[in-house]
Amino acid sequence: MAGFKIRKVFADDLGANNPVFAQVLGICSTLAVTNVLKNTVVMCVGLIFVTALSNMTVSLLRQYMPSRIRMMVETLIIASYVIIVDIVLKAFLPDVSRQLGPYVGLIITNCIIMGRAEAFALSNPPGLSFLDGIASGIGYSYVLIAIAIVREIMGSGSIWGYPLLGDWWTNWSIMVMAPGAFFMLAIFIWIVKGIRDKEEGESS
Amino acid sequence: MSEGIAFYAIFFAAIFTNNILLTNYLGMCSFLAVSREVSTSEGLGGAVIFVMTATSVLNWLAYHYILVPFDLVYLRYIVFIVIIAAFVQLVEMVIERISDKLYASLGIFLPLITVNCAILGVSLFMVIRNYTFFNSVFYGLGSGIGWTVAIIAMAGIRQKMARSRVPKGLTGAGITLIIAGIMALAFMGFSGMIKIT
Amino acid sequence: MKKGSVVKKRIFPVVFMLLITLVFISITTVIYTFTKDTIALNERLRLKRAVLYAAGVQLPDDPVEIEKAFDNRVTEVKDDTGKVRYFEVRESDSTVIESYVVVRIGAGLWGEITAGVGFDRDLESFRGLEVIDQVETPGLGGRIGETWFKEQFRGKRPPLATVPEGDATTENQFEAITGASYSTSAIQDIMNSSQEYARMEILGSQ
Repeated sequence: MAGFKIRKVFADDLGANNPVFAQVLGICSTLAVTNVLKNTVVMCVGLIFVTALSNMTVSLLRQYMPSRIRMMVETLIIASYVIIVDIVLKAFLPDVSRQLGPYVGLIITNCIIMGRAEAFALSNPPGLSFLDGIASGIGYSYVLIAIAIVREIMGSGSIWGYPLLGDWWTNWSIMVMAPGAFFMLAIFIWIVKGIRDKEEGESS
Repeated sequence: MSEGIAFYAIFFAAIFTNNILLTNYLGMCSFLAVSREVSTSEGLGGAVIFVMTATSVLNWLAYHYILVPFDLVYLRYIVFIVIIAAFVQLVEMVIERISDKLYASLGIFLPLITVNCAILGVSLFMVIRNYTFFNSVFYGLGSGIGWTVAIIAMAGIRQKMARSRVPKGLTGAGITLIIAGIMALAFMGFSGMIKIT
Repeated sequence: MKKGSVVKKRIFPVVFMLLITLVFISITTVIYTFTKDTIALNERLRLKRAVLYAAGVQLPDDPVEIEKAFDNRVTEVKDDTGKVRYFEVRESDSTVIESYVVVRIGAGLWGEITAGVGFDRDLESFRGLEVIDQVETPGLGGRIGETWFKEQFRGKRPPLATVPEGDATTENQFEAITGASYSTSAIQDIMNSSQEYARMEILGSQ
């Protein structure tokens, strides 16, 4: 039973209910750093950490939490975990922390975290909520990491900071700049939707 | 403090060349959800301009007069988000009491604003860039106006587009993102407009 | 009954909120206190690395090596209030000053740009540039922090003029960043004004 539930949580968050494709939620804070893969990965790890732990905490407190101040309490919990991520980055990855600048703090307003707390953690036990946090964090991360890989290769000719394509490649500056992220995300959504529609067409 | 940076330069840069929505992707969630109609976009935009300017003032004061003197800078995320949430709540209550008309046009958008990343983003950028009080006010105001300009333009385009044929996989979010990308390109054309001395 | 509901409705939420706030602020404060020194050390290390880089000293990216080289080769020259005016860089175990580094702040597009500028002994040509702090647009103005951009200043002489990427030929030219004219000209101003500043600070004090 438990195993089945866990599998369902992962299947949902990674596939059909992937927050990025299904609702285009929560891209604000992370899309901006997808021009470099390394920053994206650090940001995603931070996001997974915050989502999982805040989900668990909300779930632990769910029976005692007065409903009127629920949102405030959730925001406070999320903000605390984000501060922890920020401090840890500053102490152990100072260079990355400097490049991410305010975007770490903006994890607080990432709709996914609040959304999972409201939709899942309030009605599920802590352990499962923790896993749900990890699953939706991963579901969100792989999309952004895919975007970051394409943007870094095409925009800077490198991957994880290492030159990959050599001198013959002319960098597409547009990929590093803001419009590149919009176009890439749109293309990703297009591809995924296209595949999904085709599958539905075949099964019906 | 950065005295060398003129407030009008920050103001115009925040509206045009470095629009917080189109270059920093902040406030995307409500942007995608609300930009279907021009009238609602105007309402939300108005609320964003107001809240953004006011909270950048409040957060600047809290940061420089409470957090910095007491060496509590690391708590800024909590303090900022709580100030924003409390301010939004307060404004909602005041508007509800004072004017039904205003509440109907502005009040319904207020709950959406607490979770608008752009509001918190402006406050965070402002302290990281070490702006003076005056610069922060204009940065908040400019970013709010920039966000509103972008969302109204987007709503106008989407209203027109309701009658055009979009490839099936792109309907909804996909085409909106592509338009946002093209708008971001267009806004990049403004760079060069502002001369910072 | 009525009293109970008041407690439940009004007081309990406030108490709950206060408790939660207290708990989480304590947790973050504890973590902050434990990492405070590491963060301060990181900051200091950054400055040391920046000074050495601007002076053209090639070093492995190893904190211990950087500390050692800085202690052996660099002297901070301070004013009466303890503020650092400039850095003198020598060969190890030598008294001859090889180069000078000054830290300069300029106005970029979004905020201050803090840079370390290295000069040869005669203050005529640049040893190097390190961008210590900047908040320019990532991917555009933010590229002033990239190695290719910083490296090109070695051996150049002020006053510098900008040319498009890939076109720098003479020792008075440097390559601008496409699409980031303000950040580029901010660096140009910092570099060109720093010679006069360095002359005033260093020659004026001797």
